[in-house]
Amino acid sequence: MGGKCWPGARGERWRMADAVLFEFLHTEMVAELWAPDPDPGSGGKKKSLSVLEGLGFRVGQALGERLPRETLAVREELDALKFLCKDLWAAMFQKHMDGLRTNHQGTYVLQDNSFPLLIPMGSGPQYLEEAPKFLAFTCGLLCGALHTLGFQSLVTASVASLPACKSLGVGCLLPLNVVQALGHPHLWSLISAGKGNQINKL
Amino acid sequence: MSRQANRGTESKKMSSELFTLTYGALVTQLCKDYENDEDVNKQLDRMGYNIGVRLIEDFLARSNVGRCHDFRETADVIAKVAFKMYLGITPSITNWSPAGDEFSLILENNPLVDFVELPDNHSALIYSNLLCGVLRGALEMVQMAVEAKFVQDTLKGDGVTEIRMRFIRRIEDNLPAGEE
Repeated sequence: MGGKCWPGARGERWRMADAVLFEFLHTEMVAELWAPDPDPGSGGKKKSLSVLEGLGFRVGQALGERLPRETLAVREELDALKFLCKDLWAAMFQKHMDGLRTNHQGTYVLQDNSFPLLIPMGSGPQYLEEAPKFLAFTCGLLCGALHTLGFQSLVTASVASLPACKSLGVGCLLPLNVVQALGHPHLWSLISAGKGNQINKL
Repeated sequence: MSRQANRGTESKKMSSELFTLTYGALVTQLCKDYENDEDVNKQLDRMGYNIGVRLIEDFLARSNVGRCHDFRETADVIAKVAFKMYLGITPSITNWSPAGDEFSLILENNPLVDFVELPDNHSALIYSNLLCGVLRGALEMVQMAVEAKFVQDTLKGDGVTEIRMRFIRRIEDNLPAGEE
């Protein structure tokens, strides 16, 4: 980390304090739940991914239940995806997604050019293979939020590159593929006025 | 302008809920992974320690706090600056020991336990034990060995949540080899 930090780098990294706390928690969660299986088969790796995705799914569901009232009016599939790109991403990372593309047949690509949970990683190809660990929770979270909005989905993620920019903390190009598993999404009914907060029972 | 402000406020609230919900999901998973609550408590403390070691750098970069000269000053910074910055709460400081090496942080509300009920089969679980690890790890990076532990918890039916802080010793700087 030689040389001075550019003002832009500070701006990008200078995030809200409680967002920093979430990022640290996420890093520890990945480290903890990625205990290597004694059996080095691919089954172990898959299991660890699914645990992180499962946690993200529960969190996404609960966040979705706390939607601002006007968002309850989400009716169209595209509106749900726009909600993820704007409101949900703003809540998680204090910014919007950089891009949303669709083939209008149920497949969407959500793009974040500097995904905050990957920024602490160094740039370079040797870290590409580690990147999926840091994406699994967010995949689950998007899937869970969509589920609360009434849409079934399969969410996968990939990293195109971790571009090297020595002084700037520029992160990855991150397309998230949100695939509709069902041809006709089930429309979620409005929350009744009397519904209380969800209790996380252990 | 007011619309923008509302949006910011909304986003901020969701952001803190994200942390609380993520923490809840983590505790749930650890309870599945480990057979008894004591192991979960140790794991939460260890993870908190690792977070604290990094969080102190973020905190010192964000705040204008210089070096604390005694444990009382440290207590003020923890309660009035750090907790406010990261959790949005300001615990009160009470129960100083005569020697000035112990104090309690009283949390009227603990944001980590929003939406949480503790079932009967987890009576030994210290739900927010991550916080103790964070405090210990952060203070170790500024040369203070401390013990932090929950002595009261609203999840257990207590009126408040209390973290007891005890100063153990100042950590000496490691001298370069050959300079002792």
